[in-house]
Order: sequence, then structure tokens, then C-alpha cells
Amino acid sequence: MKKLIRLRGLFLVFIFAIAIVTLPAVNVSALKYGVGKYGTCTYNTCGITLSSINNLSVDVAPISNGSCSINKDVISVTTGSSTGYTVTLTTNSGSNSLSNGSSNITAGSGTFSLPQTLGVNQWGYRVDGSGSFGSGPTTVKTNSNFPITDIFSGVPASTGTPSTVVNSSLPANPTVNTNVWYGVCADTNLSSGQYTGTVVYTAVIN
Amino acid sequence: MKLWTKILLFMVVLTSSLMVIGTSKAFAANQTITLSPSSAELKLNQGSVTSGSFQVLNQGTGKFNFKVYPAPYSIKGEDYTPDFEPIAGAINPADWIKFSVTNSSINTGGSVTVNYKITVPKNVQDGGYYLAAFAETDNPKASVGVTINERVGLLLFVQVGNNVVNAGSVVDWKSGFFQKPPLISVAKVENTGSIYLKATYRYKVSDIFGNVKFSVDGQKYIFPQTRRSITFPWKNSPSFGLFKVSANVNFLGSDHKLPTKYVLVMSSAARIYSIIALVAIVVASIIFGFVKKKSRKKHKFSRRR
Repeated sequence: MKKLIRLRGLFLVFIFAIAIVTLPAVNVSALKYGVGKYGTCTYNTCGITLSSINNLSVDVAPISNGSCSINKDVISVTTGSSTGYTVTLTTNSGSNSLSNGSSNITAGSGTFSLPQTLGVNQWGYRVDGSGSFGSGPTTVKTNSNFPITDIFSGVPASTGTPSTVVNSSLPANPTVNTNVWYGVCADTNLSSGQYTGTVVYTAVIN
Repeated sequence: MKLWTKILLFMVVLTSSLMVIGTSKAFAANQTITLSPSSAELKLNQGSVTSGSFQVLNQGTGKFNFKVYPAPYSIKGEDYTPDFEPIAGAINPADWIKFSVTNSSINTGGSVTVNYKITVPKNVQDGGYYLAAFAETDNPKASVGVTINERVGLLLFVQVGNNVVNAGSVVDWKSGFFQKPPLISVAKVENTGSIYLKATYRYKVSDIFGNVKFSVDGQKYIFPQTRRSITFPWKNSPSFGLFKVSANVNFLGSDHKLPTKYVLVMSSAARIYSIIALVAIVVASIIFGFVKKKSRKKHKFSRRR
């Protein structure tokens, strides 16, 4: 019993010591962050800005067992809206394949909530730390042997439910950048050539 | 006493090593489209016509073409994934709006003002109608790779008529006691009425002495007959600390004060360090007790002699 009381006492001393020791660290961090207040604007006055590149290439040299490449785009959002913002993506049509005449690289079977590794002759996107993609970090890859362990979501067609890239309850002021990674896996069954498709990013306030 | 001082010093060193400095990089973007404003609320009657305008700006590094078009606006799930596809069988308010500009181009640093006119049909019921006015860059399809278009939207929240029901409540408020950084709390607001409601909130994180370490004010629209999950993340929360979390959510003229919650934030590293520190304290105490006992025995023995 005495031992128990002593142990409990030790535990309390430990908690108290931790609390005392931790407080200065918390203060320092909070000072660095300012007071945590964001610049806000009222309804009907906030704008929203979206930036990215206008074309992204992901080059793959297919081999019989398949090879995969990953490249990235950076999207930037700026808004003072205290509602936060959401960025989604879809293709611009009813199709979500990359096409080269009648030959297609189809969308990966993964989704934002359940991403999957890419199969051969598939493409997809991922955002580190978002949805169920995991923290990554994803890196640029060129002609890595199939399969690669990175998990992707297929890009939905414009007629489907848009995939979320960012959903923030905070304003993006200053600008918030997000890396969007695109992956493609291909084997020699695929006709060689230039495959194209169009992705539309949509940014709206929440 | 000396042993305790040593332990405290050891813990100071451990805790200091938990502090992390964050960095961020700025990226140059090729194409930058801005739309302002990004939302508007309108109160109209059946058969009425109203007009408004928004601006599309080019703040990027090159000229771009863009198109302007409307879409119905709805949401999916409690996290409010926006959806801009028509709902089968439902009224499409995107049919009510016309734009002065549907295709144009803007040079770097330039802007275009787009006027719009909304005509509410005479035969629609009182209630809320939601639509988006989009400005989308219209890049020619590239000969290789993925062509990327950016679109930004003006969300229009339209109340038609006055025969609407305003009702809602806070149905959930969570902030787990043990958390890894970032500290996250979630409130859910339910709109049981027939028109959107607008909730404003203040979320506050204080230390145990009441000093505010983080606070954020925000606003959310909640669609009728839906629940909205509002997530409050303190992105730069420290690796370790005990905090008091509180929030107020205000809608329909009522302020809802949510109960204060206590949260112990510990990163994975902090958890490991704490266990090591705890083990160290226990071991040190046992040794201290053993040494003390031994010296007492020795003292007793020497007194007997």
C-alpha cells in the first residue's frame, strides 16, 4: 500500500514537473505563431485566387513488365475568406482516360477515400497528407519498375463526384501551396505515342 | 534533492529538443486567375429580376483565355464536398442566370468585369436556391501530357420568398483528450430548416492558466436538411502541452457556448521521451530509496556499535 502511495506521489510529481517544464515551450511556439488570428474579410467582399501550371508532362518509357513515372504540379490558393476553401479536381469531360487516338491510359481504380496502387496502363493523382493518401513524401520518379508502392486516386470525370484536393476551414492568406502528384504506369502492350487529357481544378470558398 | 534537480534538468533538455522549426517555400505559378467576390447572398421574389457583377483578374505571368458559365451548387457528405452537377428532377437555378461575357481573354495584370442578371421564375416555391458562376481558364489542349485549367467560382445563395423555416442546432462537439499535433476539434451543426443558415464561430485554445495560445473566427454556410462538420485545426500546435479548448457557434441570433474541453497534445517523440523520463524517474527513485535505506541501516548499525 505504501509503495502504491509512493508511486502515485511520484506520478503526480512527474506530471507537475512536465507541466512546469512545458509551459515555456508552449509560450515560445505561440509567440512565433502570433496570436493565431487570420486576416478575414466579410461575406460578399472576399475574392479567391487559384494558380497552377497549364500543362504537365509525365514521360514513361514502357517495358514489358511495366514502368511508372511520377511528376508534380503545385496549386496555389489565396483567399481571405474566413469560411475556408475547397479545391477539387475532375477531368473536363465525361471521360477520365488519357487518350492517344483510340488507345487509352485508364484512370486508376483508387478514390480519394480509398487510394490504390496503379495498375499497368493506368494514371492517377495523389496529395500527400490529404484524404487517405498517407503522408508520403512522394518524390518525382522516372521509369521506375512496376509496381510502385505510392497509392493514387483516379481523376473523376466531370460528370462524377469531384475529388477533393484541399479542404481547409481556414483562410488561405497568405497563399497556400499544395503539391498534386500525377503518376502513370505503362507496359509495352500500350501503343507508344503522346497521350493527352485535361484536368480542371476548382477553387471555391467553403 | 540533488537527484530531483538532475531529473528536472534532464526533462528541460528533453522538452527543448521537441521544438520544431517549420519552413515553407514559395512557388512560381504560370497561370493565376482570381474571381471577386467569391460569394453573394440574394433575397428575391418569384418573377423578380436582379443584376450584379464580379471581376475576373489575371495576376499571373501570361495572357489567358477564359470562359464564364453557371452551374447548380450542392454539397455531398458532412465535410461538404462541393458538387456542381445538376440533380435529376430538381430545379436547376443555373438556368436563371445570364452573363454579359461568356468568353474573353485577359492580359497579365488585367481584369474583366462580368455583369450577371438573375430572373427568378414565377412558379418556383419559396425556399433556398444555390448556384455558382464560374470563370475557367480555357487553355488549348496540349499535344502531350495533362492540360490543366483552373476555375474559380462565385457562390450565390438565393432566398426566394419569405415563407421559409429557419431552424438548426449544434449536434456534436468533439476534442479528444489525448492528441498528436495538430490539435483538432470538430463541431457539427445541423440545419433542420428550409433555407441555408450562416453560422459564425470563435474557436479558442488556452493554456491551463487561461492565456490564449490560438484563436480563430470563421463563418460557414449550412444547407437545409444537412449536417456540416466544422473542423478546427491548430496547425502549428506544439509537440507537447496541456490545453483548454472552447468554442462559440452563433447562428439564427443565438450564441451556443460549447463546453470547455481539456486536451493533452503529445507528439510521438514526446510520448517516447515522456515514457523514458517516467522510467528514469522510477528507476532513480528506487535507487534513491535503496541508497537511503542502506545509509539508514549503516547509521543504525554504527549507532549499535
